[in-house]
Amino acid sequence: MRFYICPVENKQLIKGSLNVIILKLLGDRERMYGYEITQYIKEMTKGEMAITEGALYPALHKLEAQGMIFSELDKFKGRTRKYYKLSEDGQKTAATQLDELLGFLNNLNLVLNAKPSHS
Amino acid sequence: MKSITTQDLQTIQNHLLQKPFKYEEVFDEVLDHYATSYEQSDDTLDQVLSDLDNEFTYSKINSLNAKYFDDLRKHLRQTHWSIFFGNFKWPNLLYTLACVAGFILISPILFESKTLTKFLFGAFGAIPTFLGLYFYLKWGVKRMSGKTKLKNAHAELFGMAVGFSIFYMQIPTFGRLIYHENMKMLELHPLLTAGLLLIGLVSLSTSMKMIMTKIKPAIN
Repeated sequence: MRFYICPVENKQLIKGSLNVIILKLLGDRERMYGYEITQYIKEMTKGEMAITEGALYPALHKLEAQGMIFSELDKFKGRTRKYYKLSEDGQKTAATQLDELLGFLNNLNLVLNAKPSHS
Repeated sequence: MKSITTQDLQTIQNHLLQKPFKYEEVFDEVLDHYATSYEQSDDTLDQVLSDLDNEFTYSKINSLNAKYFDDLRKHLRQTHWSIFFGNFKWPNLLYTLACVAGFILISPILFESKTLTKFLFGAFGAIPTFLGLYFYLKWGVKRMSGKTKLKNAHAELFGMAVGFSIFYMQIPTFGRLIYHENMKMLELHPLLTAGLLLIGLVSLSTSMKMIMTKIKPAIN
């Protein structure tokens, strides 16, 4: 399943779907760290979609607080690296939220592309 | 991709320490972000620092501190309950039921031996409390010796990990407050004695799991 890629200028649009994006990415990969997530999204969308660090880290911490993801610390080149992994609850939520988001995008597409009716 | 030198890492560390980071956990995560950005970039260290500083502004760092602490508190509370209820879910329920049966069997012995009962009651409550306090003080010593200026949110919240044990030790006091001031809950009935000690054992197991899986790894 792939995300539709489009230039996203509106930060609110990204913010609204940030949790689903994070859960989806962590579902596809065994574990990821913060910087890796930002770069992966940037690469996937060829720079069209950029997640700011100021939004990413609070979102990761909140998802961890909700039990959707969990973290583990590793030593890496003299510093501590925090990896995030999807929990069992997160797997269920990711599937549900992804379906909801895709359904919403589908409906939005129908509404925005509807031809005006002449009565 | 270049490899970061110890000196570069120290430069980033010193640069970030000028910012209002409050907790080591947040600091470490952002430090890794800066270091990895530098490793992946062709720019100079000064340029990378300047670019990232635009994102990690003072107000954003302050907000990150506050949100992190709040989220961690919620996370620890949720984990505590989930570990506690885990004792009553399969397959742990088997061990819990075995403990219930065991405590019922030895309840007359516990009831007769008041010293043993008091010792077990005190140990079940005190062990996790002292262990949690140990990790808190360990961090405090590290800060006081100047090894770090930052706080550790997990150490600050150690009380959340031992909350059940502290509550458990208060049960006889509640009994006295509610029922009678001279009431000795551990000496009323063998099954009540065994029940209280069983609650203590569950509380001990919950608090110990919290400390060993959540508090200790974040402090060492």
